Amino acid sequence: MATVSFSSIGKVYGDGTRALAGLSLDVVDGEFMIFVGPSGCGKTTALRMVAGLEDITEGEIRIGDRVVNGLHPRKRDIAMVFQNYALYPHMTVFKNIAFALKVRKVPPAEIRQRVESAAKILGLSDELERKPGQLSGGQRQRVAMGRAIVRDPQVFLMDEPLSNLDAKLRSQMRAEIARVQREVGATTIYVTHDQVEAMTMGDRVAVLRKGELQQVAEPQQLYEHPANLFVASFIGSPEMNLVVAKLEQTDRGLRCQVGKQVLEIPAELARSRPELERYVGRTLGIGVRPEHLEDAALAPAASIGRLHGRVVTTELLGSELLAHVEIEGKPVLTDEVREVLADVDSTRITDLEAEARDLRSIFIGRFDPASRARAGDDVEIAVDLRRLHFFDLDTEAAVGWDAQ
Amino acid sequence: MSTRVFGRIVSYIVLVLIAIIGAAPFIYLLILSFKSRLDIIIEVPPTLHFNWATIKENYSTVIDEGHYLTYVKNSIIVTGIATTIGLVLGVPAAYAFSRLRFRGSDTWSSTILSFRFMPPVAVAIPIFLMIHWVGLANTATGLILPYIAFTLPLVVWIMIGFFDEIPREIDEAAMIDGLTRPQILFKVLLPLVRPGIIVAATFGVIFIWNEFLVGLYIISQQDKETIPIAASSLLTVESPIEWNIAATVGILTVIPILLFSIVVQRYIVRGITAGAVRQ
Repeated sequence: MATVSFSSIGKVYGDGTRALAGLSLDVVDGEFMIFVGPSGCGKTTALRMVAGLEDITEGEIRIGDRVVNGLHPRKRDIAMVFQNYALYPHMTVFKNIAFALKVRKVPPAEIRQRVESAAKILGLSDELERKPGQLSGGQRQRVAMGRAIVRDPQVFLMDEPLSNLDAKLRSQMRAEIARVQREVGATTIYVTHDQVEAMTMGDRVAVLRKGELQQVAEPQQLYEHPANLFVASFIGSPEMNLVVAKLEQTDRGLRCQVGKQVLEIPAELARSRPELERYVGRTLGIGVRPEHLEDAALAPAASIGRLHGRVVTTELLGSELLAHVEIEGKPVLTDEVREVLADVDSTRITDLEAEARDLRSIFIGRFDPASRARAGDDVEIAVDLRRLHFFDLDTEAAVGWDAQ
Repeated sequence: MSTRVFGRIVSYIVLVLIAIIGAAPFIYLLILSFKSRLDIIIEVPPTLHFNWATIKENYSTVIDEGHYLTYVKNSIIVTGIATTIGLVLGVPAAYAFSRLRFRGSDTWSSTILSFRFMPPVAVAIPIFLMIHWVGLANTATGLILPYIAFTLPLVVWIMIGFFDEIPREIDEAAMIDGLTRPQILFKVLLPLVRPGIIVAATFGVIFIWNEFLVGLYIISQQDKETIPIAASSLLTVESPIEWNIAATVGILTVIPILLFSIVVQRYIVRGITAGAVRQ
């Protein structure tokens, strides 16, 4: 077991493309660290640099006390799980798992014992004599895990190991990988662009964008206190609702003007964000998570603002009703938001641009399924004002983030 | 009758026709090698009536009087050694071209293939002169060297394709599992590209086995001749041509290569479809 530390890591490819810049981060002993971000954010590059599959252009990576820049992968005492599993197709499951031990000249009796115990952890005991071609996707994934854990390495590296599995299997394997990691206790770096994996599996999550680290925090912290617009819109599904608002000072306190509507900012929240003073008279981005919106007809009264809108569509999911409500107000459309949208679906940007032109925003609310709101209805939304997020539209940082 | 069954029947008919067209010359040759010179002239078309004594005479003329087995031996030695060396050099070269990025790696791999586009006749004379200068005329080595030069580009080109089919992550996984580059090639990748090696070997063997022109320049001593050269002299020294003997030589030339093809055939088919299924 060991700590993996990145200090000022940068990566520039031969053709001059920069994949990473100034990444500094410690993954502490035994920690499950997630690297998350859209395609091309540098997360896989960072992982491959730890593995030794990619040269380190700038900075230093340490595993334990050793600087590993320039060290061959086999000397780094790491194990890696690849996106396409990279199993040896001509070897049986047993041989696949045993291969690294055999290369390291571990005595056959010990190999057998270690492979069997790994197979037991992963539920592969009956598949040991089969070849990868005869296994299902989930089983192959487990073999890839087995190949890693049997080594008992200092560090586990996983590169989007679940992205080739179907949704159901994915959620099952998510739990399984997290369990195996806890059982083995190895320091783990897990790369994914699925934010559900990021939220559910890791001890901490590092969000990357265009080769730069945006925020490292525990999942809940990341969700509740995103550092900037990018993290705010990337983490969470459905995404955080973001709208441009004007901050005003009245004798009753601060208030936000969204289109023609007004949200009073509770005094308590204003006190905890003293930096908001600087934005009085200016526009900023406000954000609110879908679960902090409710059909006003069903909402309790405390610390609640109201927004009127028209329901565009609803999705009744049994446990909740996702209501897409159009309200008057300009959606936040910065580079960071665009980038998150582009990663999901490029047509979303065109939609959002059209909405921005017409000064209308679509808010998604997680309503109680008892809500009567249906497409075409005018509806009043209750906004939990204590959970508002504020963002500077120029720096895209969360207001007050620099001060923390 | 469903269209599916109908389609099947049509495709079988077409395949049988193709098989007949393909096999007919060979069967004709076989029949001729069983006839006497006179029968060939009289029987048009040839009948399926055979005489054991005639068959024995034809084959004994070629094998015993014609020293045919010497030529078979020469051919096997030259073909075997040249193909083996071609593979030993070509497979690692192809691995390097497929996996390593070095200055000009792309240019070189296509340049190497372009060597193969040159017809042997264009280089036969220069090769003959070079082989004479180094004193290797009339030796097996003198044939093997140019034959390696002919097969190597083909081996490299075929094998690059097979290596490219294998995901790089397999190499990377092996690297992390503790192997060096050469170990990755020998312990992990060779078993995976085996169909490719067999395809490359087959192409090499067939080319060298049939090669005539360069061999003709380099070998002028009868006991060093390979089959194609020997066959041509067997036929041209006699005139008019004895068709029964010519046919027997033809059959005996084809048999070794036919046996080889039958043995490796299943690998060739598998080799051609190897990339179709993602592992």
